[in-house]
Amino acid sequence: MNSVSQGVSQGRRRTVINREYLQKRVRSLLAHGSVLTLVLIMLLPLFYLVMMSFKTSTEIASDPLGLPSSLYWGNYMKALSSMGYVRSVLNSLGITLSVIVLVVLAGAMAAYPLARLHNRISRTIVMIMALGLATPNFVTITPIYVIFRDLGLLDSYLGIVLAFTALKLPLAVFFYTSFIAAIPMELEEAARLDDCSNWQIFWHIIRPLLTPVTATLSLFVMIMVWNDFVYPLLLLTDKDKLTVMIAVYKFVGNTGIDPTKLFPAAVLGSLPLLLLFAAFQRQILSGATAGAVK
Amino acid sequence: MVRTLLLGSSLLFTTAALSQTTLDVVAWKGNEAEPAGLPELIEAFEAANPDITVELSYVARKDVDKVIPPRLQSGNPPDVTMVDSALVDLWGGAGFLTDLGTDSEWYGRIQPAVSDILTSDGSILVFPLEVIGMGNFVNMALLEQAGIDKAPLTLGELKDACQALAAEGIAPMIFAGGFPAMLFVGANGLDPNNNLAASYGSGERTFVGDENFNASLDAVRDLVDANCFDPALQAGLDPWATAPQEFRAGNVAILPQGAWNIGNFSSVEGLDYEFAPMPSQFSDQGLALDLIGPGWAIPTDARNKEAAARWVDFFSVEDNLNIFLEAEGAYSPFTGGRSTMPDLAAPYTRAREQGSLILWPFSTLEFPKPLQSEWEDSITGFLLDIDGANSETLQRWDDTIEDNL
Repeated sequence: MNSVSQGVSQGRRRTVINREYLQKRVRSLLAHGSVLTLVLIMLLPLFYLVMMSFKTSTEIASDPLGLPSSLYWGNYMKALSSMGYVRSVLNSLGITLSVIVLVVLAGAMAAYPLARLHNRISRTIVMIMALGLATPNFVTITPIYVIFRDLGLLDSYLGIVLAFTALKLPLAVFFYTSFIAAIPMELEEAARLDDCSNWQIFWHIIRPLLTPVTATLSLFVMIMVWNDFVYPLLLLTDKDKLTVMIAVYKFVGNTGIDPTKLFPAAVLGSLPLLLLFAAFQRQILSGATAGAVK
Repeated sequence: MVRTLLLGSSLLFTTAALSQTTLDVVAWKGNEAEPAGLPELIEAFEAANPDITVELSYVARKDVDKVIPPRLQSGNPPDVTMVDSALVDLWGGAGFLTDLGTDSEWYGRIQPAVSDILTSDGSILVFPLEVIGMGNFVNMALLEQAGIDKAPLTLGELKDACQALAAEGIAPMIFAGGFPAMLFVGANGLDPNNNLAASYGSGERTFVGDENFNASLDAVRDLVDANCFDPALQAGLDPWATAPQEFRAGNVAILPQGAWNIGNFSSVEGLDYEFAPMPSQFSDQGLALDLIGPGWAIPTDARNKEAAARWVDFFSVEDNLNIFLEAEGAYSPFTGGRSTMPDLAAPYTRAREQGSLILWPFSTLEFPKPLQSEWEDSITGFLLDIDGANSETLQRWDDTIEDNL
């Protein structure tokens, strides 16, 4: 009798375990399925872009949403021949990386005292920086142009790098100030006991701790500088100095587009950015999630 | 001897290099998407003017307002810039543009209707490049499948065509919220025989109580009843990318758009189409909607004014201008001369020649610029609420006019 009731209760337990296991599996499948669906939805425009870039004009006209019958590389050849691709990518890379380096260095150095000094001046400076973030682009265009003309910085790499640095600096200061404020003072006090100067504390203690947030900031700055075409259009006139986004911009019409030219140009224009992202993916993600888990 | 020769030739080379002028031209045409014959014209200009090198910078029209004003304000403008009526008004009013002179040879040849609009206080600040048509692109092969052999020119013909096409399972018409819908509403609200555009624009006359514009919105409802389109679907359609793409693909029979699409559509092999005037309650021949296109202006502080004047004069030569017009699918703003319009635009040209024509009031500045976006937005809203009162749409236009006064 005992063994029978034992068997029944064991059977019940097994059923409960099986049900729980099944429920867990279903929940997991649903969660993964939803995430996968979302990812697919987000990737659809990218897929459409790449797919269109390989279609002939006739294919696009007759079946705009269909897959290409074969990979037609002619569109890429045409786009490459009129983009000055290598030169414009090198210009974009040079400008973007220079801006990132300057913004990161100047932003971190400015943010350190602002995060540590708790007085009216530092608070005012932080507020001014926040205002800089909220200032629309078109407000700054004319003053920047006039100042750069007077400084002889028009149509120069230095000019465009300095302009972007000035424009992105408020973002960096804002980013770093809040991050540095969260670093325990004890770390600095210990260094100070070892006779470290402010500069040594910043360079040897604070700066290494900023690595994850720097990766995230760099990503933001990289995307903004890479994709901006208004400032290069305004400040650069020499065709050899133009950025890759200006090269893509030439394919956008006022009253319509030619997909056989625009789509491959757009793929080529964003490709270096994607490669850069892929190369620094780990640092960027760790920066984005830094502090999320203690 | 050899040294003297070398010295002489190097001096000659240096002199030539020094006398070479780089003409800085800014335009929203001449790029890969809209070449407008400019690459060919630049080559011809440089051949005719070997001391000038043209540096053309493409700036899309929507970005011109951001990129060029700083250059004008700081006294470092391009030598020549493309402008439209709105920019002439704005920049000319601020004293940024040079008077090109009403005593020039080409000024006397501008069509009177166009020169009246472009001349202000005895000065002309722009060399007009084109007058471009807006009307209906009609896929004749699809019409033929529905037993129709000519592009519809009246409202009755348009409704009949829609019903016949819909019965054959063919999508009759694109009426995308924004530009295409606006063309139809304008063509049925603005009476060519009694041009009142300026009085609407000045607020003297209101849209809300206007018989013509009320009838125009009613005509849109008639098109819906005739199965021309589904208004809610059209409200969300992109008029600049998806709509032309649908016409190119042969998925729809009628598309209201500008003649600048002719080059684009003609590149599709086998696409049998015509460019026709807009069916209108005011005309049996359809109404041609002419838009005064862009032109060249020379900024007051331009560094190379003499070279800039030569650039403008170069376009005043008919053969040169025709290259631009042919690429654009546009009419010349000058009297006389050879037409470059293709045969497929014959119905539109015929309506123009018969005087069934209005100049699009947004390009003549009879309507203020903010009203254009209000038209686009409110007509889109109208398509989403097709049974709503006309006054809901028309009052918004009057409010915009009032805000702009």
